[in-house]
Amino acid sequence: MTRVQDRFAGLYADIYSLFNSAPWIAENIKTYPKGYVSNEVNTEYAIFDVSSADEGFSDSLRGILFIDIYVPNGLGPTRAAKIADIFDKYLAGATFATNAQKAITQFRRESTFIIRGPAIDNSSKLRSTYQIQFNYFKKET
Amino acid sequence: MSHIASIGAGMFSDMSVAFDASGPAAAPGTMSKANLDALFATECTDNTPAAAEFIRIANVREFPAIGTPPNIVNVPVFGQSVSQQIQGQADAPSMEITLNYVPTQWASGTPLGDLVGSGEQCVFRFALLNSAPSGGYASSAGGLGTTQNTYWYFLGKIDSLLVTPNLADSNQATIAITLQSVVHGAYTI
Repeated sequence: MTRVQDRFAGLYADIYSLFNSAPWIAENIKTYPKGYVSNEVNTEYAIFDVSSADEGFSDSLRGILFIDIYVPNGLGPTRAAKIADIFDKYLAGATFATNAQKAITQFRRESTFIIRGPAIDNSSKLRSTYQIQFNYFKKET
Repeated sequence: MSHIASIGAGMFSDMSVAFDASGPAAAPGTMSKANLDALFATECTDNTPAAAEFIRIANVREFPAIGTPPNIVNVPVFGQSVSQQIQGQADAPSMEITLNYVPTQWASGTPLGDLVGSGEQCVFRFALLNSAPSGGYASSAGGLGTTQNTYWYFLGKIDSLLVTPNLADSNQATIAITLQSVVHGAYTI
């Protein structure tokens, strides 16, 4: 007897629904998932990584959304902090439900932001990290 | 909108008190949803309430359990191996809310500050909200109704306010509310 879960794909679908949305695209912060290679040349961009490492309850998930923010190095951290604020605006306390009948992804209201210094593979970029915890609640079926 | 239909954390839950120009709003003659909703028509943000305005208890860290507690009475039944349970009269519950203490909201002369220990009965509303209502917190379609919501009304008094000064965290306060009625709800709008 198999039991289809689709929770990991469902979690990604919820997160993609934000970064595909018109309001986010209008913010003009290019945001890619880890493992995606873009041909675009951007002065600032972000790469996100979904870690559902922590166990949730029953059919649910719990984890952290890690986002690396890259801005030009040498101009200070203010722009990176402003980008982190934009991520907060859309993520902190937000709920995403591409299939609300089955599951929702709910982000915590707390988040963290750390300036990491020049990127290891490209010193012209300043790397900083933004992290926010999420819960993926799945209804029992 | 509708009742909350998904599993989730009530991160935007809210406790509010109804006021009018002279103090806490009197309980309506009939505790119906429509009458109670009318008391929470507009949020008061300047500490000078007018009729049908409400003030949110802000900066809450922790809510207690909300609802009417049971009072189960065990009844031994002769000749049976299992006793029966019947519902008795419930004790009047009290609840404590922990909040980050901001003195401007609780100072003497402010609407909420003057309620503490006054013995005045007020109308409370507790709203369970998993996401922020974009239209504000009024009991209307354009307020709480802008997101999925579930809320309750009850009559109560704010009996005490105890401030805990903190050297390493926010100053905190615990307010104790005693209930004077059953809890009406759950409603949605």
